[in-house]
Amino acid sequence: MANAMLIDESRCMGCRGCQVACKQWNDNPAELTENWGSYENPPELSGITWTKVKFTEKVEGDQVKWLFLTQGCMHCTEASCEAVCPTGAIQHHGQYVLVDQDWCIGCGYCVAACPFDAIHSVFETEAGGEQKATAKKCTFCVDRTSNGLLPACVKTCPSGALSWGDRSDMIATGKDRVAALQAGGYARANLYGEDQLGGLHRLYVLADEPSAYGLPEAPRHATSNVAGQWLSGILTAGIVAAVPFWLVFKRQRAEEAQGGGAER
Amino acid sequence: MTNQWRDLKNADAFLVCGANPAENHPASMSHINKARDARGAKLIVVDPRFTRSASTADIYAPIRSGSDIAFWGGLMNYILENNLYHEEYVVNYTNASFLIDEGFQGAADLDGYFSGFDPETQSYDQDTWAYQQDTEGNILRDETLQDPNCVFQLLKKHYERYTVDMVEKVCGMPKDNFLEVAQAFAATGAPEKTGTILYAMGQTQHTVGTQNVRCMAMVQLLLGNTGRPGGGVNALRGESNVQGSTDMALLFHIIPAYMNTPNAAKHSDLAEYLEKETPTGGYWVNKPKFLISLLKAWWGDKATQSNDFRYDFLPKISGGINTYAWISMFHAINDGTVKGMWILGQNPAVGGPNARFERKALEKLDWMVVQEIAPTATTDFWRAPDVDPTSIQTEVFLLPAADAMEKEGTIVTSGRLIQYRPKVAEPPGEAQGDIEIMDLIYQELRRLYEAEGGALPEAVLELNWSHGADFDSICREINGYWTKDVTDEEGNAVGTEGEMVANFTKLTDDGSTACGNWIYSGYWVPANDGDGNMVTACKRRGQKDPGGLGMNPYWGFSWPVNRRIIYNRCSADSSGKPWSEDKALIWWDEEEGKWTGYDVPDFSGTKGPGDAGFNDPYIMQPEGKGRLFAARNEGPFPEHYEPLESPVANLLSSVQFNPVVKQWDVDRGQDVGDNVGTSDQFPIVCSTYRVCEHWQAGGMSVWLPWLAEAQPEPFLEMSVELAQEKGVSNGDRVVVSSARGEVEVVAIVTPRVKPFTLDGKTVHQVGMPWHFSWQGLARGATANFLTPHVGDGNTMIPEYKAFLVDVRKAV
Amino acid sequence: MILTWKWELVVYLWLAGVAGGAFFVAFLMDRITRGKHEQLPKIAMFLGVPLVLVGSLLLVLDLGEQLRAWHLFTRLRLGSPMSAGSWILLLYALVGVVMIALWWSKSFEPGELRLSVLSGLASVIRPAASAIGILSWIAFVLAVLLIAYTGVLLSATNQPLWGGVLLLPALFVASAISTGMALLVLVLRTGFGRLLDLLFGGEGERVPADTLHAMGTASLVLGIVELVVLVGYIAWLAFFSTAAGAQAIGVLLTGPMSLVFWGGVVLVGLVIPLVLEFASLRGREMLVGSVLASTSLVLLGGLFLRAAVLLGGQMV
Repeated sequence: MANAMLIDESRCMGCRGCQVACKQWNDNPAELTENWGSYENPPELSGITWTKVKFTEKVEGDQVKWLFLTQGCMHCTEASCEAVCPTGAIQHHGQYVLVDQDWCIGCGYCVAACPFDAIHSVFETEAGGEQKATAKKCTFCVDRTSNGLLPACVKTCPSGALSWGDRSDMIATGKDRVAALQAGGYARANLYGEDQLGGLHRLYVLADEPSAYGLPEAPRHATSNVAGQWLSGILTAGIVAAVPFWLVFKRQRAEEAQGGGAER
Repeated sequence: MTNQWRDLKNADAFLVCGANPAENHPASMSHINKARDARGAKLIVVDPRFTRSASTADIYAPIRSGSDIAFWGGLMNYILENNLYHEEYVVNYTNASFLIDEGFQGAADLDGYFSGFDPETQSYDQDTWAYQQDTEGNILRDETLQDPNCVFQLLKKHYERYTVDMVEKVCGMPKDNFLEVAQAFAATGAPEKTGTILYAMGQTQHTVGTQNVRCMAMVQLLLGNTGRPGGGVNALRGESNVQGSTDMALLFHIIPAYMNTPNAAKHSDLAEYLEKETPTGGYWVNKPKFLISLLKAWWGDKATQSNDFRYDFLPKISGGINTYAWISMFHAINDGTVKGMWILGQNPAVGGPNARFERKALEKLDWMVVQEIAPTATTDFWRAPDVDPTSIQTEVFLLPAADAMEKEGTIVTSGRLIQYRPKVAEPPGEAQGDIEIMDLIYQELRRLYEAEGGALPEAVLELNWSHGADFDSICREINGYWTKDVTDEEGNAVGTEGEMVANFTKLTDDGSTACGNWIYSGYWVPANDGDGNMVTACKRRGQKDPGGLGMNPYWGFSWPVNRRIIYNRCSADSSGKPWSEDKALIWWDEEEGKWTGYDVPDFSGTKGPGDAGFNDPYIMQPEGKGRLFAARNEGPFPEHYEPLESPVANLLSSVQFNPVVKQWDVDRGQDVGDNVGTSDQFPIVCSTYRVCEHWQAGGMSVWLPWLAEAQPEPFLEMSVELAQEKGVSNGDRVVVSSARGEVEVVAIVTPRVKPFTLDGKTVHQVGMPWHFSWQGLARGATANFLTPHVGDGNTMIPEYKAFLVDVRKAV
Repeated sequence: MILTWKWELVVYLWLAGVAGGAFFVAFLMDRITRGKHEQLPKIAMFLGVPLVLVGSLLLVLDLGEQLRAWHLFTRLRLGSPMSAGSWILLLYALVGVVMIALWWSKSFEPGELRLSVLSGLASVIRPAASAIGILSWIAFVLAVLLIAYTGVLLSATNQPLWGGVLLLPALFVASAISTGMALLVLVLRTGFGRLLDLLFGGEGERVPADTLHAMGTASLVLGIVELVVLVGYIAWLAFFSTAAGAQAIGVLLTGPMSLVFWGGVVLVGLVIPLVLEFASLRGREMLVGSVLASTSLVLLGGLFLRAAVLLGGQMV
């Protein structure tokens, strides 16, 4: 009976209530920002920004679309961050993927491994400088949900785009919504997160294909081919060892075999 | 609003024009979305930009700022030509069948004017706009709607010129787009369907703002939508308690609640006021009761029959909007007529039109008291970056004020819903609530009058201020109470001295009641919360919703007398039956001999079929009908005129600009003055608006780090085409200039803004949020440096929404 | 944009590659010539251990919680290249230090033992000196893992320039071996190698000219191998991977890292050294000290390569 968050992006209006509620609940300070040509700010998630709305404008013929994506940790069943963490600080607790803030060493590997850019160990300070700390991300407000409350973002959302509940219920609701959107002319509407990476716990009803929102169509687990990568490295060493060195030093070996010159 | 927020879920269509609910009233989207999910309602957004509301809409249509009447006229023409109006409603509930004076001529006949215009006074003699009456004073009607002098035919004739082609040429809205909108919304003319129109400053902040709203009222009357669930003319008010502030008459022209401020020339005494201000029909016949009860509230025992209840102590105005409204007031400040100013929670330096003029005007004040919660460009106008404090003579007093959470109080939503809010935090330092501050000032004024005398000291000394700053006491006074024991003819007690009146139906004109605001009457009286508890009405939080229409009668108190939808007689047909079962709100119960249902009837409870006035739902009008034809300063029908600063000539007539609007010309030609730009210098249409992340003139939001992070500075939204012309890329800084000033902001180049084609000519439009100033964590240029010093013909609300600018890339 | 990994990591990757690569080639040359060049692995380890220690210090400095670095050694998570890499680094350093101690202990003449504290210490260690043989093999395996794991670590992420790109470990390995060889040649040609050998009790023999010549040829071949792998890496991202991958390689080819890439990696690190080496092999030494030049440039090129890939990979 795992809970999940369903985000209906066709109902999201990009108001940033979720963004501010998350900041307020988690006592995260604001970053110093400037308008870079968009309503979107801060431009990326960071160690102190755990959810934000991504704004994408898409032009299709003479139609304009303004797509909003509520970014944050997906709490993947097959979590890349958990797989690469060298100290074991990142662990699954039920469906939540959580970082033990007392154990994390702030190495930053999870930051690079996340397919969704959802976890960060560096943040910009209000004065404009940079600070490195432990890795931080959305916790699904585990301190709230374990006390019978809704996550702060879900509670705040004024349009009802965000909801929280049993994962299979959220999937069913999401599919209904997708069907309604498709009937309403949104042929590419889809539910994102049902099966990716073993199942995500942040599910999206999207009115357009995932790539339109900047989501990876088929997110890749960071260590999905790590054995192949080791092999690549070791084989290269082997080939480099075998061919050039053998070629180059075979004259010396030949001399040696003939018993000439070499002293021991 | 004629309806309520929660009622939105009952609509079959939403026409959002001049508003951006997803942006500025985000919580409303949940109600709108309920209607879309449950009944397939369509959300239609008409806006110069593709906004956050448009992003979720089913239909979006672009419209050039300042061309709304052309759009509404086109919609009305479409409804009339295609017979999509709700016939039974129109015939019975509106003045469509009423005959107008034969001397009346409209804009179609007189090239943009109506009969009776006097160019010297810039106003209309409205004699030819009167109804035709028989010798007994009954209004003549033609219920077949054929008589050429009936309102319906005059309406048709007036809007014949507003063809689909005309809409395209004037508004820049492509024909098929317009037809999409018209078709979708006009479908709510079917008797069982209702649609709601949601609007805000995008309609009101124009020199034709009043006429824009008139259009919406007319459309809703034609479609039979007003007074019904999911219908109505619904203003999305711009602040959480601006409804409250207008109810309590924080405007010069009215006293609480919506009675005219006495005029020195017209209302020399109480009798003259009551005679001129009390109509012969409709609910306002009770005005004497409301006014006298108000006077009793203010002067208590000192107000008696023999002294006209101290009517003479009421301040009187000697002019109208051209003397007292905001822009006029700032001119009076500028020329020294007004010497001092007490500003409570307002920021003219950011929110005022032609803000450079208004900031300079503030420097002329002898003294200024500013009551605020945070530093703003107004509290610190005297040390703005471009100001030398040593040159300012104004004595400035800063009174730190408690904010809304730091004091108890009531606020009123757009839906007239009064909700009590408790105090939940302590104000910092020396900050106090506004009531406490005003009480301190009153006590001191009183002491000074007592000690030193002055002009008419009794007006202050005799004030009934026994409540001090006691909140409960003040609310009792606003609610109304008996000033003495009153019995009826049989000797039964009707009211006991000091006890609150149940509601405004108990108010009297003989001084036996006092009431600070008759429309609120009943709000402070204990009422059932639906779960059997008696709770002060506006404090109730009962969630039961009989009927399931979202009326929620046990939550708070909706004025008047907890009516949720006003004019709700219209929700039943001319025999008293609901138009459809799923929108049954109130209906005539033949057995019980009264009206019953899920809302308080906005109608005489026992008036049944056959009784006089059974089909007069618009009880506030003397004739009891909704007015398709209604006299306003510039005419009885809205006619399209261009904004003061317009890129094109008026295609509907040769009257370019609203003929009754005063144009100011102080210091024209100077750097700071009432300057007006022309389209050869300033070819681009500009509008100002709000963003979700910030609040009005900024005081409450720009100091909050999380909001400053999300929306750090102002910007100019411009089309890709215009950006290309100007060599601007997304994120570049641009300089925006108008005849009144220049500002530099960052450019958001976006496909959501497109150029308009107006009668073959390409006209660009841009827009900027206006929350910002040099104060705050989120800061930047003040958009109102650009806006013109001109306002609506009836209210003088400034034309913030359509003016001319030019744009260039910043060096 | 926020860069999580900065110059500390760039330098560390470079140092680890050079250290591991140097021992890799040294051990190979010694084994292929059946132990004729015993001093080569010694010199490689004398250089490599300090480099690895400095690199480890940089790794710790890079952490958000530096004092918690020991958490890395509370477990081994084989699936995490960083966990594996931390242990590889630790073991390599330990093995290296032990080997240096053993070599040093062997440098004392039998009669010198027990005459001073140092010689007393040496006498305790010396009996284990026969382990040097097996330790060298262990060090070789660790060196291979060391030069491979950094590329594996980056390719086990989701940054478009690195994630899932099989040629990235190959590239880093090729670069490590090339820079490792360059370091050795530089050190030997300047005589610094002889000095090290002498310091640690070796004979201080010159490396024979034909060996040096062979090393020069090997350097040329290694440079070409690296160039081929680099071209393959670029081509893969530009043409055969995703749009994000193409965008990522654009950062190096035409974007913010283009100067570092074309100037540092290609020109300085590959083209100029290849030209110099080719010329000197033909007997035409173009400049006095061109060997010094070409090896230094190759080393620098390794640094630029790490910078371009590590920093560039965080910019998309």
